[in-house]
Amino acid sequence: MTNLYNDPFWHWIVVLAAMLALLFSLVTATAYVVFLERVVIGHIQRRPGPNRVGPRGFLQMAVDGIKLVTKESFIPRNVDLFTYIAAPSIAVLAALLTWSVVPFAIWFGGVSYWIANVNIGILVIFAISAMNVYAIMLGGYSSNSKYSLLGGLRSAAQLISYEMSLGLSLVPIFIITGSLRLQTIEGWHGGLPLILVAPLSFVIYLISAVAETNRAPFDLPEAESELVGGYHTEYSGFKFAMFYLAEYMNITAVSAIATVVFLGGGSGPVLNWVLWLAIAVAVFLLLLWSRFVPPFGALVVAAIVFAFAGLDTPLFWFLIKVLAILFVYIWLRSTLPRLRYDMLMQLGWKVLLPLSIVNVIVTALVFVALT
Amino acid sequence: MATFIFLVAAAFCIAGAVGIVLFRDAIRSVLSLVAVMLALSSLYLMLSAQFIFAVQVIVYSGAVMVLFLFVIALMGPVREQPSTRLRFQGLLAVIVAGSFAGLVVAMLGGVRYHAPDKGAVLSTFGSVESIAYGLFTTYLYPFELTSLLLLVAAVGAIYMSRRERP
Repeated sequence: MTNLYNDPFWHWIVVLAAMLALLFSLVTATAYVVFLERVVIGHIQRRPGPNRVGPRGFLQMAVDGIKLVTKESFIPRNVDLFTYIAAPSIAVLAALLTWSVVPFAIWFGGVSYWIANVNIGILVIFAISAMNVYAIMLGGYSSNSKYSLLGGLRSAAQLISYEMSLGLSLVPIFIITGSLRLQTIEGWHGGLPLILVAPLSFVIYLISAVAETNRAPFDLPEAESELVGGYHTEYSGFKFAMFYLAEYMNITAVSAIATVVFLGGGSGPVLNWVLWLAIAVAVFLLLLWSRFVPPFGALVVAAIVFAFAGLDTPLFWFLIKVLAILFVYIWLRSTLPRLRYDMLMQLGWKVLLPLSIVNVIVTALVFVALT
Repeated sequence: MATFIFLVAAAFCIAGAVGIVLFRDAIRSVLSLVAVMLALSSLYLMLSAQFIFAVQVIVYSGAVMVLFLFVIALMGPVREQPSTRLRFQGLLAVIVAGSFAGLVVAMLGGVRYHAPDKGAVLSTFGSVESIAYGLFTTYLYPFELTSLLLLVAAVGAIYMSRRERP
C-alpha cells in the first residue's frame, strides 16, 4: 500500500472524500451532542428529558431539524439584510473551518489520512475562531433590536477578553513540545498526555474555552432573563438553526483541540480482541442501564465499539476523550449559575490573564533550568 | 493554481479597498476593510510568510476590526450624509488621487525584482521558528524598544481616560 497522500491526484481525491465524510458526520454528531445535552441535563434535573419521538426520544433531533428547516423564515422589518444573512453563514463557516486542521486522522492501510497537516495548526485555529466574533457582532447589529445589539456587544467584549488567556494558556505547550503543529503536539513522547506536565494550562484553557464558545456559566450574550435570546433574538427558522449548529460545532471543536493538545489525542492502549469484546459488552450494559439509547441502539453502539478494535484504535480513543470533555461542558451548564457581567470581566482580566502569564513565565524558567 | 489564487486575492483586495471609500454605510466600509485584511493575509501565505498570515488574521481581522465594529455598533446605524460644505472636494480628490497614483507608478517603475538567492530555503523563510530566531537575536533591541513604546502608549491612554475622575 503506497501512501496515496503523496500522489498529487489522489491527494485531492482523498482530501475531498475526507472533507465530505467529516461534514456529514459532524452535522449528525452535532445533533446528537444536543440530544446528549438534553438527556444529561434532564437526568441532573431529575426529569425524563426528550422521550417522545422514536424509541427513548432518539429521533427527537431529526424532528427538531425538520421543524427548523421547514419553518417560515421570518425577517423583521428594517434589518440590514446583507449582514443579517451573512452573520449565521459566517458562524457555520468558522465552526466548520476549525475542523480542517484538527488531526482527526483516519487509518487506512497503515497510513493515517487527515485533511490538512499544517505547521502553524494552532495559530490557524486561533485565526478562525477570531472570525467567530463577526458572526455574533453582525447578527446583533443587523437585527435592529436592542436585545440583539446588547447581546452582540457583550459577546464581542467577552470574546476579545478571553481570547488572550486562551492563547496564553497554550504557550507553555509550545515551549514544552517546541512545535505549533497539532500532529507533533499530539504525538509528543508517544502520546503522553500534556495535562500531566501542564495542568494549570489545561484548567485555564477549559475555562477560557467555555467563555469563548458562549456557554453557561458564561452565556452572557444570550442571557434569557436579561436579553431574551441575545444576538439571535430576531433569527428564526433555518438561520437560527445555523447559529445553533455553529454553537455546538464550536463546542465539539474546542473539546477536540483540548483532547489533541492536553490529553494525547488518539493515543491509548492497543488491546487484543478479548479486551475489546469486554469493553463492548461493558458499553452495552452501561447504555442499557443509563437508558440513553434503546436496547437495539445500545447493541449497535457496542458493535461499533468492537469494530474499532480492528479498524481504528486512535480514532476510538480520540472520540472517547472528546466525549468526556463534552460531558464536563454539559455538567457545567446544568450545575453552575450564570455569572454577572462585571464578574465575568473581572475573572477574565484580573484572574485568568495574570495567572496565564505567570504560568508561561514559570514554565519557561523550569524548561530552561531542565535543559 | 498559484496565479489563480493570487488573482482572486488581489481582486478581493482591490474591490474591498474601493468599497471602503464608496460605501456610505459605515458598517459596509468596515466589512470591506475586513475583506481587504483577509485577502492580504492570503497574499502573505502565498509568499510563504505563514506566521505573518496567522497574525494578520488574529490581530487585524480578529481584534482591531472588531473594535471598529464595536464603535460603529455603539453609534448606531448612522448613514454618512453627502457633504455640502466642500463643493470642490470631488475635483480635489481626483487631483490628489491622480498625483498619488502617478507617484506610485513612478516609484514602482524603478524597482528591479530579482529571484530569491540560490541557497535560500523558502519553506523555512517565514516560519515561526525563523521569525522567532530573528526577533530574539538580531533584532532584539528594536523588538524590546517597540514593545516598551506600546506599553507607554497603553498606560498613557488609560491615564488620559481616567484623569477627570478623583
